[in-house]
Amino acid sequence: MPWSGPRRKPLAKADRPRHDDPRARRAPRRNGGGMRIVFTGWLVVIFGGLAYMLAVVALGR
Amino acid sequence: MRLKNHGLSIAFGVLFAAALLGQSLAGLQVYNEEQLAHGLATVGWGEFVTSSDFVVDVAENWQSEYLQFFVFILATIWLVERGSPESKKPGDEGLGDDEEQLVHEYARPGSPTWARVRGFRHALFSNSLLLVMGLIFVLSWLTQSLAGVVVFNQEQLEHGQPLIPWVEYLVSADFWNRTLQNWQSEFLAVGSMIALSIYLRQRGSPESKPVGAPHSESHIEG
Repeated sequence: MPWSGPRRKPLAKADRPRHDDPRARRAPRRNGGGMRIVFTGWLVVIFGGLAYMLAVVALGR
Repeated sequence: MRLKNHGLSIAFGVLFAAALLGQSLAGLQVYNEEQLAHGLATVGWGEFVTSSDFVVDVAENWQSEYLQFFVFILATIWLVERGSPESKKPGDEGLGDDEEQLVHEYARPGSPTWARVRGFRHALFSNSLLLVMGLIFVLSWLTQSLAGVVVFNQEQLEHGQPLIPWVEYLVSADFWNRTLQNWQSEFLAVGSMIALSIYLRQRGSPESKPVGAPHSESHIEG
């Protein structure tokens, strides 16, 4: 039998995967919320700023 | 929303707001000093930030920043710089094929819908960053010119000089002086970033190559 590397030591109890862990059953989180807020926030700042400046000029200030 | 994941945008948002507030306060002081020198009444902060004097100074800096990114995004499609992490590898010039762009049949499960489709929506999405940067540049440059002619004519009035229309202001020395003094600094900064990053490093920054990367390698993040 060819040598296939050292035998793995069995995992300690604390390191074994816990199949009954409720966190593992939770649906994967979609972390898009924050990215959308950041993206929209910056667009609001930029185009809001431009609209503000154009309004100042349009009002003849 | 985990704030830790968005530190860059939050930090730059706070810096932007603080710098803009500082500009408005310093600008107000300069404006009032000039008003007093001309024997005119001083104004309050609210009146100053709703004046063309404030707007022209803000807009002329905005337009140059967005022009910088517009030109940089466009130029890096077709031009390369050997050894710079800001550049693609020599030989990779151009728009890239569908496989490397992960579009159409090469789209991955998480790819945006408009990367999969063909036609107008795909063309729009494929160029959306450049288009939005270009739009912001054009709008801020237009704003600079509209506010600039108001400020220019105010000064003309104070000195008993004739007023000029907007079209004439577009070819005036004042407009191009305001414009080009910003453009030159933007192009200098981008050019230095491209050239200096060939031989210099910043450990941990994605704007730099890894510290141990060969000087001749391009497009590697640190």
